[in-house]
Amino acid sequence: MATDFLYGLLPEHLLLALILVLMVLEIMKADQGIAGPLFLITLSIGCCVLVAQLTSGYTVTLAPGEVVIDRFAILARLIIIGSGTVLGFFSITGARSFKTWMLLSCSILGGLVIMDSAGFISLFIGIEMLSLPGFALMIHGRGASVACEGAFKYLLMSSVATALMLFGISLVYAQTGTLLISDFAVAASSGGAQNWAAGALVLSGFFIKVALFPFHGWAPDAYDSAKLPVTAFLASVVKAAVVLALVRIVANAPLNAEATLAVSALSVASIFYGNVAGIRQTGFKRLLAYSSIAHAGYMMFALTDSTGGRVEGLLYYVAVYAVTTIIACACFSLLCSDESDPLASLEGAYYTRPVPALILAVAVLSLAGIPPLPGFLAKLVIFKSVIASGHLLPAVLAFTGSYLGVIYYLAIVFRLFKPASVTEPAGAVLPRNWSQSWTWGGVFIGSLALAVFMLFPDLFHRLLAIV
Amino acid sequence: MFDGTMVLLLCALPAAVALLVSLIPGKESGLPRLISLVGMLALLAISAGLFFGFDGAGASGRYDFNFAWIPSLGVNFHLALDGLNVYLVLLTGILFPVVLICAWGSSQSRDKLYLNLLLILQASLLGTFLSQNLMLFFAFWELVLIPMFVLILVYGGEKRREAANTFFLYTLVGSVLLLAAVILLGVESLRQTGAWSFEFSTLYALQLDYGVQLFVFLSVLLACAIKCPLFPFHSWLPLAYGEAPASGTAIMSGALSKMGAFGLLKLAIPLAPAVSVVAAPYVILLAVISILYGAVLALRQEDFKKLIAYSSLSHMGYIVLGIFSFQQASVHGALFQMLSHGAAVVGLFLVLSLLEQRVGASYKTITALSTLAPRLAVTLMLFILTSVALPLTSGFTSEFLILFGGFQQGFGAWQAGLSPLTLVAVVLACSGMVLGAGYMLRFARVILYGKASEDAGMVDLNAREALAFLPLLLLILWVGIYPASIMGKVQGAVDQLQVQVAGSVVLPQAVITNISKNGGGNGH
Amino acid sequence: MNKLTLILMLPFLGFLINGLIGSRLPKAAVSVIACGMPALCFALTWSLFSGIYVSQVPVVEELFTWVAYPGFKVEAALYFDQISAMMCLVVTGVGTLIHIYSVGYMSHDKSFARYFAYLNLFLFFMLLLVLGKNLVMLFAGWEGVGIASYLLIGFWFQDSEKTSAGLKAFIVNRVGDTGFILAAFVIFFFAKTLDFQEINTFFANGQTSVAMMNLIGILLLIGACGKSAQIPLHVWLPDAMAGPTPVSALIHAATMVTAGVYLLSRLNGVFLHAPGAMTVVAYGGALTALLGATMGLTQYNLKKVLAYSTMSQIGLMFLACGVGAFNAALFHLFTHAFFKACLFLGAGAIIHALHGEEDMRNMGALGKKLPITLVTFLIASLALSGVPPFAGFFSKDEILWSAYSGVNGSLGLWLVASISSFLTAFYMFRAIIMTFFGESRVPARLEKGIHEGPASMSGVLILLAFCSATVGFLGLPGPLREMAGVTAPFYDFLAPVIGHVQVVGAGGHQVEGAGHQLETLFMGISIVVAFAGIALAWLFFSLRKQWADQVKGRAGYAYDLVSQGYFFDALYYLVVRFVDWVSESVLARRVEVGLDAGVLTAPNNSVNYASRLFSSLQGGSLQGYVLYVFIGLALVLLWGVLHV
Repeated sequence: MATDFLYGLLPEHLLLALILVLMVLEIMKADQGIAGPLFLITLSIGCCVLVAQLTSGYTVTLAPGEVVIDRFAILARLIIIGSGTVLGFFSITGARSFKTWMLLSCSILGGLVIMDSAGFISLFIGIEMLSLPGFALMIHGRGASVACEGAFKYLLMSSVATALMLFGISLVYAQTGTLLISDFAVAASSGGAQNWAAGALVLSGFFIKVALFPFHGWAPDAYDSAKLPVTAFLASVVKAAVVLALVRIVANAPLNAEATLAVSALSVASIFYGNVAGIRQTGFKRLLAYSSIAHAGYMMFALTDSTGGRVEGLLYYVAVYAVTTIIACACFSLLCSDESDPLASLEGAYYTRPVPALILAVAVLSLAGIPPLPGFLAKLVIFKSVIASGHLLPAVLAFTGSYLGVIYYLAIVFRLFKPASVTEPAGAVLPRNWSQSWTWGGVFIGSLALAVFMLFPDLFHRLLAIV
Repeated sequence: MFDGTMVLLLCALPAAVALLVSLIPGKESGLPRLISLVGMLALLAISAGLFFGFDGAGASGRYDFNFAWIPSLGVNFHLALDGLNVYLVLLTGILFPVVLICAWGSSQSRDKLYLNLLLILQASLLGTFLSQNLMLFFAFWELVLIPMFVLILVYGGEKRREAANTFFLYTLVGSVLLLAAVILLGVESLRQTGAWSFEFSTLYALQLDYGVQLFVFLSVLLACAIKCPLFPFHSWLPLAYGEAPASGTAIMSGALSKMGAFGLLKLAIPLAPAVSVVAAPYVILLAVISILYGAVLALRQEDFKKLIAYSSLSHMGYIVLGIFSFQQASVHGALFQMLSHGAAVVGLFLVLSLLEQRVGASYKTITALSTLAPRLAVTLMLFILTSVALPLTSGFTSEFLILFGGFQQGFGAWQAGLSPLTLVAVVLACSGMVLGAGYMLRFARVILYGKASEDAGMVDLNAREALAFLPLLLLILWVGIYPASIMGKVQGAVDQLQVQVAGSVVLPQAVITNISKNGGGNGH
Repeated sequence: MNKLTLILMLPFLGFLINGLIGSRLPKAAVSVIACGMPALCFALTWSLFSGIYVSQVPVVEELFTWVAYPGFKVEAALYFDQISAMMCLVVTGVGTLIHIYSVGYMSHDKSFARYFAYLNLFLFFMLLLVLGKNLVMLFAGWEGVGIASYLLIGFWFQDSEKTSAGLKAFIVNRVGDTGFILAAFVIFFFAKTLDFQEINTFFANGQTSVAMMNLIGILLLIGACGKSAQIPLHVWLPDAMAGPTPVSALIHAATMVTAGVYLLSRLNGVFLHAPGAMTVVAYGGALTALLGATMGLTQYNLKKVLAYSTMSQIGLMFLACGVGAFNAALFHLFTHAFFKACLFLGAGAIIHALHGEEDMRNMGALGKKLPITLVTFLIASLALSGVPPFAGFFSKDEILWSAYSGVNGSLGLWLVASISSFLTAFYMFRAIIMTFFGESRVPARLEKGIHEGPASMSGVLILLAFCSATVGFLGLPGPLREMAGVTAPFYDFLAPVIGHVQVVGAGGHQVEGAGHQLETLFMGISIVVAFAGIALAWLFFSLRKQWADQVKGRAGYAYDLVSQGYFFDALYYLVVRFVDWVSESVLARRVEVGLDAGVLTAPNNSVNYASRLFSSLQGGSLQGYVLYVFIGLALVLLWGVLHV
């Protein structure tokens, strides 16, 4: 049992250790340069451990009703840590202080805790651990009031979310008297006004966290106010963790008809809203925000599935989305290193920095869901189960919405290939300093991962199947 | 299995060459261009070899490469040569080297991006034609858009951004419904066979009820009508053809437009035979409208590129007319027309591109070419005569067979007391012959004849360019003079189509008898 | 390769040689190749002809299969029966002569080789037309001669007048071709074959409804009208005179324009069972004969006069076909080829001498300077006017007689035909008088240069004139045959393929002898008519010139009507303008623009508007966001509570 506690939760332990070490180092005023590498090493080890668990088909119930390590837990954690690693590579450029890394690790730790929780207590703790460092990250290192405002909005909205979630949970608790996730799922799907309310409340809580229309308000401002790496973090790791938390709760249990209709309505609305509103954006981070609103729509669409393809579908989608987003941000930062955000600074980038420009173009098209890029396959695995569950019309609407999305993703490609009217001197080609090569590493690893996803779209299907 | 790998090579070789090209260092070296040309020629050799080796056996024949990509979804990386795509594979194999050789002189031909785009375009086109798996087909179908989009965006003319945008977004509209239909078919196979599958062979065997067929048919029709294009879905055409770089226009008109017709043959009719039969007269009407619409518009076009664009709208109409007449003759004709129009329109655009290379933008006002550059003029005249469907050229073979089959169909329906709609449409289409001659020869008169201004000098066709045009002309004459030699290769596919159509329950008896009388082996 | 294929391929070979490397060869070599090929063809044709003349068995040569799929097969096959033999002889024979003539005529032209390449190309397609065994082969040649004539009419392509004339010719022909192709489709629908012999045999046992037969007939007639310049598709022929004169002689007088007659007689099996169509053919032909002749009256351009006369002569041939006298039609085609070619070439000699002057008002008194031309031209004109014993008399008389006595023949038809031949005689001699006699109106600058053409030209003229004088004796009319106790080799030769239609209709119920008396009477009348025409011309244009002008003055509008070609051109001009208007003002300016606005602009704008609207929701005020959340939540809850 003890070994299980050690081995099963090894990634969590590693992260805890990392946090402690970082604290110590900070106290010792050590060179801050080593923080990043430490972080990366730890996460990589975590990845290795998880892969080992995955391949050995290791599952265990550590604390009945609270902590359980099953296939899903392992895969989900792998996704979190993996994208965390890629993000780490990308963040080294900007992040220079121990605090940043501590906050990151803490947040990721929260994400991991979510994944292997079987009861609401640990789940809730996990979610809070995931979110709270986010605010700090947004503010940390920049006195700009804009940042504070964005962070504050985020904080407030997620506290609303928390409140709703707790209320929903307690409603069920009042009936069943347990905090088991499995019981909740059962209860929520078995009608009755109270259960309905409970389900609705919890779902709305999550909707806020994933920024689904109309619960999206905070996202654009928050994303816009943070630094690019942090935005990437919010858009990738945090979002992934939240969505997977939802999956943790509902798993493959089909929703009842009303909930299905409501969810699909909200998702379609979100897709349309995000994609249409994105068209007029001029800033990269805001664009990211709106695209993440739209993608929240696609992900929530998976809830309407009743053929049991939800978990694998969402795992795949989340993984692809997280990695692609990080890559896009990394390439963007490569193309205009300074803090400048406007898309205009991309114009003609292809002619000065072809490689990152092309990667960015591909990543963006993948987000747009152009076949055969992974973004398309991710949509495919979700929508095939949606259509298989008989929701053809919403699916068509969603496709139309995603079609509108293509418009602003294309706009980015436009800018990349726009012949530079003011031909900047060779100085425009940025000097390759050490930190940038870290970013390159992140882009490389991420692209590798994407390639794998593209070649084996049913990766998670297979992995989940193995017991 | 060796043949299978050959088929795979068709798709993989260009991609590999593209990778190789992009790895070559240095900006202004001619090496990438050379390598890509060699690759394209090798591909031409392979496709020609496959073409001649192909004996008309179905998709399950020798030339088949099948690899499970997403087993859980029944999505296989399944490429195979069959009767429907054998012509198109040859055409694609021929077009690209020709295009590249004609662009040889231009600056962009030294550009690695340009070469990459061409190669990727070729790979994805071949993939579209060869794929035997619906999902794979869709993936390639969409993939084609990206390189073409960038090609227009980077190398296009004045309004290239607008053109690229319109082209991409407009053609993507079709895919929205198409994707839904594709997935729906997968679901149907899940429901009926118990497993996801997007293999065409599986999907053809499904028993789809009328509603599903209708949805599938309409979405496929929309997608293809945009790609072809058909009236009224052609709004992107003049802009895109006008603004794209010459090579881009050539490929768009020569190969991309064929994707639409191919989609109709490959998806619409086999997957939704009942609906196709019912809808045929209306589709034919649409086709005839585009024939006449394009022709009449071309009559008064000043801009050569636009003129040819509208003429291509008109010619694609013939293909659709042939396909939906369901007659052996007309389907054969449609398949030939794909080759013929491909070769002719590419030739026309490439001649224009050569003029553009020589005299720059003022090529739009050029005249008296026969005096300035006789060889060039003769070449242009040959392509024009092909578009006019002069006997002994492929244009005549295809249009004759199309109209012939269509007429037999329509007349038979009329004689059998059904609606004379088809007959009227076909007769109208015949009048397209006159209009076609009208605008093409007016075009010839403007550009070829007239008094040459003394100062205007021009380099005539050189050996390299002549060599580039040779394969196109050979193709044209071959199909024009001795088409029977290659009809056997597609016979199997045509028969299969006949069976699929005749097998559909809704088909009126009279038409069945008519088909069996004129199409499937008649007596007398 | 056997003879038949050679006949077809030799001109093509010539075309290839002259077309590809001709510009580098010396003119002598070019002319040897160009004239040698048709000459060889003629020799081969002659040998084949002599073979078939005795054996009476048609020669068939199957080259390869053009198109084949289960249940359908089109062979690329050649067929050499009596009709094709006759046509082939004319095409290659007259063709050779005109090639030789051209050597002299075009000697000064810089694109000499191109000219002969085109000419050989034309021969190739023309032979394909007459030798084809099925409708597809014939159609290939049919379109091919069209394009060849297009190229030759627009031969001097610097002049936009000429190129537009070529364009017009091709387009009008295409209209006819459409009818032709539709006819082929209908024929196949019933006969399930496109082979001529099988078609004729299939329709012979008339199991197809008469209506359908008439439909086929009419469609075929449309095709024939286009090619043979019959009303209403005749408008291209006068313009076609823009081409070099030998071209007009070969294509627009001797061979191509008669292809329609060939088509009708080739498919006589169809027409004999399509009475309605036959009637249309007969009256259409008569109309063309009359109108063509009248239009010829008012022309001042020498070549246009000949063009209109060609039109009206072919009208006579159609008339003959319409009354079932296909052999008479073919005989007239045969003789007409000689004397009309001779006339055109004569005109060519004159134009050559006057360095391109074609207006008769600038001629006159050329007879002394161009004696050979005068004599040959005179002979040919007499033949055309139907003066015995020249060729035209016999053939035309046969037509006139069958116009009265043939199937649905009538006195009216005969009258129209006679009037038109009277007019023919009149305008031909008007032309002769204005050109060769009277006082000279030639511009001074041209005066001294006038001389006979080189030997190649005058030799050809003499040869053709001789033929026009003599070939008539190959087909003497019935009565004369009996008187002279000779046979008519021409008719006998064609008999197997076209039975001479037995006398029915108007004169039908008379015994053969009486029929002959009547025919002799008609013969006399037509002779009188011819001489009357000549005499009247002499009176008007030589003795009493002022009368002509007075008549012209009196006629007034009628004169304009005729001289404007009955405003057919204006009519077609309107049609073309209309189509252009539709193209420009309706489609391009309205429909296209509207479509773009509806399909491209409108969605674009609406999406932008929506985008603006949505992003305006993002006000930045926190309260707003919380409000959205609770609105959303409230809606969800409410909805749920209502439904649970």
